[in-house]
Amino acid sequence: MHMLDPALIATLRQEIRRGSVVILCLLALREPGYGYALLRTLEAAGVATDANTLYPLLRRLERQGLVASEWVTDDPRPRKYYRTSEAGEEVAALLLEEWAAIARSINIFDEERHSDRAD
Amino acid sequence: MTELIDRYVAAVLRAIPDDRRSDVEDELRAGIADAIESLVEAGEGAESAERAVLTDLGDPAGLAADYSDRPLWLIGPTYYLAWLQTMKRLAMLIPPIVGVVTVAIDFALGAGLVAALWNGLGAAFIAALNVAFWVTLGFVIAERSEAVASEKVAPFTAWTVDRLPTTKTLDRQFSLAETIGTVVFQLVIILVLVAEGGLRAFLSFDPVVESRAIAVILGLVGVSTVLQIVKYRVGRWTLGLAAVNAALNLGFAIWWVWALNSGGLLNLDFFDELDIADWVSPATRITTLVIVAICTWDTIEAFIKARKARDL
Repeated sequence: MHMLDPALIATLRQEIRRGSVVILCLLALREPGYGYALLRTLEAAGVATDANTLYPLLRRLERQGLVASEWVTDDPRPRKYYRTSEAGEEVAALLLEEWAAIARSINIFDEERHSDRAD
Repeated sequence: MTELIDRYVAAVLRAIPDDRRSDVEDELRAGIADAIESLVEAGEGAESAERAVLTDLGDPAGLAADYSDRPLWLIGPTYYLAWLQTMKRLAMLIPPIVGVVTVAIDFALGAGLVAALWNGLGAAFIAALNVAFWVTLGFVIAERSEAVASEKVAPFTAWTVDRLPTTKTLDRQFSLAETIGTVVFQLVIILVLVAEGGLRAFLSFDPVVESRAIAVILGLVGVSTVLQIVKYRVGRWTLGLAAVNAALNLGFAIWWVWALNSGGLLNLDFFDELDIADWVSPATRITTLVIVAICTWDTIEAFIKARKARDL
């Protein structure tokens, strides 16, 4: 087996992950949360995202009406809480379908490979 | 201690539209504070935590661009191909025209030929810079304009299969740029030769010999120019064209060998004054060899390409 280029693998991984950030946010924000808390949640779930990607993304989702926001001043410092809107839920459902369809397709090819080997 | 944070936040906000500024500021400050706090709780020093968090957020200009959906490139994939095509077309067209027109005007107004050529070269160069700058600026603006990005204003129609180049154009052995370049170069040579006194500085012909020699080389260059245009229209070398090319090369070679070695061409006084008279003889021999080599190679290459084109 030849050497895998770690930089190449990192890039390919990142490309797949990039497509998943929006759906992750929409699903995670069914429970209202602020930027830094969401960062920690995603990190704990094994899908760490950069802060400088997440903060602008949340605003974009807000502008697109997929999440709603609210300033909460009860916390030790004022924080902007985001919550997935109804439109966001619909979009999340569509994206989930897409994600599942891709996973199914990938599995079809992967199983073919396994059965090829078994022959 | 919070000085770095203030500077960071200010740097981000500077590039963000007024109406969103305070909201972005509050959220960004809260986010930074949260992140530092958790690092400090994990045992990190306050100052190094601050540095780590800000470093992690990266260049404030990049963050600001991301916040306001500004592209981080001059010309993106949507416009790059159109930009490249426009650039190539205009760069091939405008600078040569400007150059030739400048030379013609300067020369007609009585400037010396060498001065006119220099001016033409300068004008062509400035024209090229202008083409590059304005075309790029136009596309950079298009890239950032929402009106152009929306389908309402589509300056460039979508690609269709009808735009595929024909195999005939793909098989071309000469590009338009190459042909234009050669023709312009040859026209300049003709200008130099026609201009009275153009070569007097370092050439010394017997007046009768000179007029004949110049007539011959003018004829050769003229035919060569026609050949350039014909072979561009044909698109490739043919055996006939290669034969004409061979005859031309023979003519050029004979003319140069004669001119360099008959002693009539070089004005030795000119070289004496430059104090390089001793170099003239070996230099003439080397030049002769080089010219013969170039003519021979050009002849052979044309035949090789003609055969290759026929085999296709």
